[in-house]
Amino acid sequence: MTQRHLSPFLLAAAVCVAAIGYADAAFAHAEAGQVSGFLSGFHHPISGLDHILAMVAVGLWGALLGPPALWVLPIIFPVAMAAGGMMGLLGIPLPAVEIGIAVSSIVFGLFILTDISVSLVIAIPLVMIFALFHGHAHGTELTPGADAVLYSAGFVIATGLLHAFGIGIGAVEKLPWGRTAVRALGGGVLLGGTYFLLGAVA
Amino acid sequence: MKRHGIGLFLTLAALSAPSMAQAHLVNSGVGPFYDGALHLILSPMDIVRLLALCLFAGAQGPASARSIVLSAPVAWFLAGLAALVFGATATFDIANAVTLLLIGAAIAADLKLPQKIATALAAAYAGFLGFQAGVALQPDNADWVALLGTTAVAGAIVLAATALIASATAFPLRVGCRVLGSWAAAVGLLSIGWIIAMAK
Repeated sequence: MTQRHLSPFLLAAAVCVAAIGYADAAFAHAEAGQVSGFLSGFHHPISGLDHILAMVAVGLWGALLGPPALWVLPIIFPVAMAAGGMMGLLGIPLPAVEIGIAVSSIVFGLFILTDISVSLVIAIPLVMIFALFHGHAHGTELTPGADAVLYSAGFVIATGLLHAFGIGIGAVEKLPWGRTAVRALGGGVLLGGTYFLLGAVA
Repeated sequence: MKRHGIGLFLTLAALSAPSMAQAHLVNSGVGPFYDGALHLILSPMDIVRLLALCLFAGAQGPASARSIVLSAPVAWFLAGLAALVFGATATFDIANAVTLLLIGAAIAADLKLPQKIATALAAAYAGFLGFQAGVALQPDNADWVALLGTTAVAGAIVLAATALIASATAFPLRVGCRVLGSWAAAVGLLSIGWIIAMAK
């Protein structure tokens, strides 16, 4: 039997992202006066557990689906999220954003838990639609600051690193017990999403 | 492959902890050349745009990357010199956002162009960035030596990063470059929205 090893790069990525995520206390929203700058943008996506859950779930799901979804989803998501953010910034409404965000975790969690093989034709539009909700929520919460580009860079990089974190965790699916562990995490994502959905509709 | 992976990751880590942008020329105390060099080093978004250029160049393959590495610093310097000589003043926010979106989309889509077209586009983008460097140096009455300092740093970054990216042939690293391209495109798109929202 061939012995499979985790990629050192993925492990290093997972450890670094975990360290970054652990570095600071979470805030629900960007504070007034601190919106400019890279770090403020970086903190925004990691300031809400509902966002974190869905972002990490995208990485987990990609890892379970394997190539090409493994890399296509993290490429698609930031661009679609930015489009949603742009809509939010321009005041273009999107209905039931909070519900959409919670449902994203439920759907991603369900796919991970059941380990159903999904074609890219379904996965890509699904991820794009949910990314719009996440981006829109961020876009409407942002107070335009002095340095739009740096803020956006921090914002996008934090999102991408959360995907990488999910992919890093998902890499354990190569181990004998790994796939079951990842599916169990999907169950956790599903539960978390349900909790947020209840909060959103309450 | 491990070296490339570590290199890419260090680049990412460096991007994650940038310094504050400096609007004015830094007085290094060792002359205008180093003042110009420091000016670019302390401008994180200029570095990000340069890295986007490097990702584009590296993704085009070694032949195109080589010609881009040679042409980009020349275009940077000439365009910067034109800005200094003609005293150009302008703001480039929307142009920066749109070009970042386009170059990021090209990288994310793994768009392969003929060598001449890729080189011309990359040189045009480097020229655009160099022109901005020239405009930024004007308020401090900087001369061509300071511009040469920015050009040297830009050239060094383009050379090192493009070489690293062009030589990273392993599939995960190519994918990593495309993901970074999608990040650049997303930053460009968000910035466009932000700029329009600010203008309202």
